[in-house]
Amino acid sequence: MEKMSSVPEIFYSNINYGPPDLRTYWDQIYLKSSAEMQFHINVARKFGKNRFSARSGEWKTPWAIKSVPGFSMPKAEPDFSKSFSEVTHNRAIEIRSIIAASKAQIVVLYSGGIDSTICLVSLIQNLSPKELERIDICMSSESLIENPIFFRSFIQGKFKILDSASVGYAEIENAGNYVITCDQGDSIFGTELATEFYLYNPDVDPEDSFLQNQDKIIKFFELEKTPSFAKDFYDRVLTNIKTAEVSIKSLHDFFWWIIFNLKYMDCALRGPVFYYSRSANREQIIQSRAINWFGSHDYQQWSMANNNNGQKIRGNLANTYKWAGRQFIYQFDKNDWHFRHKLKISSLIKISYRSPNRFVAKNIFGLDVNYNVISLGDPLSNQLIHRLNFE
Amino acid sequence: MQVLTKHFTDKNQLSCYGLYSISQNRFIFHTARDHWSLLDAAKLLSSKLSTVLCFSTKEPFPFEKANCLQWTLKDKKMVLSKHQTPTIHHVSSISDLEYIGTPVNVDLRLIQKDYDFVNFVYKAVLAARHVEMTMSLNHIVHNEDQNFYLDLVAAESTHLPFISRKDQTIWEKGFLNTIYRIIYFSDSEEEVTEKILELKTQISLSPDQGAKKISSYYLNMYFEYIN
Repeated sequence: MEKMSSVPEIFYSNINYGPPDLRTYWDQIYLKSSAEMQFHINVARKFGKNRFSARSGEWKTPWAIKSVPGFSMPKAEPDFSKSFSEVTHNRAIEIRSIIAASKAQIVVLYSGGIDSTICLVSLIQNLSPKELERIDICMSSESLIENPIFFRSFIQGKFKILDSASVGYAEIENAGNYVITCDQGDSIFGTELATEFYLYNPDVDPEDSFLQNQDKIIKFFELEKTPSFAKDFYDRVLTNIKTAEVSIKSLHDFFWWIIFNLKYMDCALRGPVFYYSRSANREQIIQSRAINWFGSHDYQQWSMANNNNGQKIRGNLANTYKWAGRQFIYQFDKNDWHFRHKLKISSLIKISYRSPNRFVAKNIFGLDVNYNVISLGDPLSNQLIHRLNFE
Repeated sequence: MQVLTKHFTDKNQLSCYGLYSISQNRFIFHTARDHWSLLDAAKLLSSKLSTVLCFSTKEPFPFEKANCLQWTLKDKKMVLSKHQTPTIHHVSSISDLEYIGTPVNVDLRLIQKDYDFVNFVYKAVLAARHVEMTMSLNHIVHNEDQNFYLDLVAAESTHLPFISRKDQTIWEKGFLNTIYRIIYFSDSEEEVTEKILELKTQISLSPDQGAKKISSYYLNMYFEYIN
């Protein structure tokens, strides 16, 4: 990561190119920006937002981004051999120790998707009935619709359910409870960008060499009206890969690396940053009250040790993505339809439409190193966006 | 039962409605018939798989029977799944579709099984809707959708001083909801059929003679249609 002198470091930044008013805002900045800043705005134009920062390898950011303590990428252990199932069962045992040490409830943010279902399956299988009484489930009607059979069989009448329309990170923290988020599941298995790429390129196998498919990747990253962007973006990711410590070979590795490295901090922080309605700083929720289920050392080791062996995806259809997770769920619920047809479905966008914090959250620009939110228009965001990048 | 028999037979009729399975990147069903029932079927199937309901208004789809399993949509933006529930896509030209053959490295027997189940669900939805329609409109102790009319009459912020009549069957939420619920939570044709047969037992145990009688009408008519 490149540091700029005399400008404060921050933990996290967000160029949000979604809402029309923010598009206009960033378009105006773009016209007056340096080529470097224009690239970062183009990333947001391509993906809807730019929250990239690197945990490993070289990646330029327009302002200095510092790693949040506890979220660095661990060094890959060549001898790591635990299976996904083993790591997942062990994670529930770790939650058991939190239950034993505290009287707080543990609230699982359940979307009905594969990741949060993995978490619930592990907790159900490893905790005693008494310990399971300490688990609450925060979900929405969308969660129910995403996997109604699991809801009816394993949640309804068995857990206390909190409606995520009115209960979020702040309410859970205020009640003195812990929250489990599974938002980093994508980081462990790869990214939906990959399944989208395979859909456009049905002739490729995820385990094909990414270097031999670079033309297809560049085409996939094409940005309308900015012909140079796709190659520039690809080259920067390639530089990052070459300067990082993890071996990236296949197409699936390539896309996995983007989320495991460049987008990891976004997956880890976006919940407490954007879906936390209090104005207080977010240190307590990020560092002690929010448990990133898939952020553990072992999950990250598993993720680095299991490339190109069919654990993350098998073939190029979207219904094999998160293969090890599907298997883990299937050994418990025996739901053949879910195993063969469940798709990755984005849940955060749906939650955001219910969030009372929605219109405030869209203007969040980042997080400073004291865990305070920086909004667009704040002195610090003005300093970072305007003064720095017009130079 | 002539009407329904004809309805179930797509012979000599070309399909303009289809269900595309996102997980398989292939069409999994097509019909020349009622797309409102197809939408209901897609919603009920969403507990098991996500689909896109495609409809063509200019020309029929180029596939017959199970060879829809070899066709896909060219427009991939439509198939990027944002919902578990069905989405709708207008196929403006047959050139929007593409023949890509059956999926590789997939057990074709399972795909055929899925295809057969989707066919069954569509047929069950048609039958259940026909029963509901016939009974609610024609039967003397009818169950017309009173909420439908009350909502038409009542202004947005006003409530009429009426309560809609209770469903006349033994099922609190009515016959159609009962069948739909069974389909939504079942995995196979056998399971659906078994659970619908169990409704006979429920009827026989009901102490309400009126509800018992009318519920039997509903169920018998359903079995006539589906068989």
